[in-house]
Amino acid sequence: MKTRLMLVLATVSLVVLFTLTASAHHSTAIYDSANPVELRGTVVEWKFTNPHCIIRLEVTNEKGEKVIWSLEGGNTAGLFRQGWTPETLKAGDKLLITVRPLRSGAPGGNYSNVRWAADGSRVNPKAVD
Amino acid sequence: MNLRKLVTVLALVVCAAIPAFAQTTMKYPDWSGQWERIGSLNWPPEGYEKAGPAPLTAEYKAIYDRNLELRAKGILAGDPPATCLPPGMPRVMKMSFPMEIVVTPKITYIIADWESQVRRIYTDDRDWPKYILPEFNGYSIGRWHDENKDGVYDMLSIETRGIKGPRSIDSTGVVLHENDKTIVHEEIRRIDATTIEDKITTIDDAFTKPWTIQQRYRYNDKPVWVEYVCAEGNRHVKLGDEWYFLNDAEGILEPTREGQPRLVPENRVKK
Repeated sequence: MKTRLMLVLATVSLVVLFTLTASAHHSTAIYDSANPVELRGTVVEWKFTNPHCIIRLEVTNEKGEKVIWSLEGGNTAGLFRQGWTPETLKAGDKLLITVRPLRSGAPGGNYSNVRWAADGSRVNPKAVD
Repeated sequence: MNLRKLVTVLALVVCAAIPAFAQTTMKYPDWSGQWERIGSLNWPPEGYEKAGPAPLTAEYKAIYDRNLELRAKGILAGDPPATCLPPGMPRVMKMSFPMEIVVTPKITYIIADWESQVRRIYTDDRDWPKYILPEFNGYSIGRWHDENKDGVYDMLSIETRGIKGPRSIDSTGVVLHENDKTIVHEEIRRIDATTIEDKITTIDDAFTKPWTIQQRYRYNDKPVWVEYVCAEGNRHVKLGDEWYFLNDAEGILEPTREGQPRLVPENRVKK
């Protein structure tokens, strides 16, 4: 029962997270929202831009190849209100990110739930202050 | 001139002067500050007058259904702002991002953070121009009203014409008619200290009848204004009927649908 409750809460949290970070200026139809993936990788570039703040993340795939994912997330206004700035991430940071991948299978998608790979804690700039 | 004629002339002069006097003494409302959308990014299924979903003609219902089929395959059909085009009227009033309202006697400005769009609503009693240059936000003429007769204007009615496309009503895939003959009527009121409401009626040839919806906005007493330049970080590229996901670092366009080839420039100069 407890496991089921946790599962429900986790699902609701995921939906809320995706809703909060949804692309405000267009539909998210190109992403496979039903099948999100967890990516663990290294930040190559962090672009604090509109309409989306971009993370380019180097990920090692199951074949041992390094692939750079181009990921879009929230907008600057939304993230800035949550404490994010152009300095929040930097190249070399190790992250764990939930991604709705492109339906095409190309290494791109829409990110949410950004965590530090070291301990799984949420990247939460306001908590640092 | 006999006395009766003199009195009549004086009465006419006074009557003519009253509206002008009233106009100069009427006060304009303070709608300044930041206003944020209340509700979802898309129009609710029920509107101000329980209008329900957009009343599409058979032709535009078929286009909508087709857009949904394409979206299931990964194609961003029926959502022009995805490429950074302005949302246009009436979608701009959905305010994906906050707006600022600046009231002046002759023009009211609605400044949308979304795409840094500005609507100018002329309230200087002008008539429609002989030719309206089509623009995404159209050409808007407004009239102020004092509904509760307290000497302060409290409602701005607006008619907007000359709206350029392509446009969709929101991000659900419902598009407006490609003939761009849309006319939008609005009534904007401050319904309480922290809420403004826009009653929006859209007349468009994609609809079987005028469609009236409402949008409310909440006052933000701690505004943060953030520059919005859509071209800076946009990933979505439309070439013909195909959509791609920009991978600018690699200099290629990634596919968004299954079976779509990656687009790699033939004559790209490698560094």
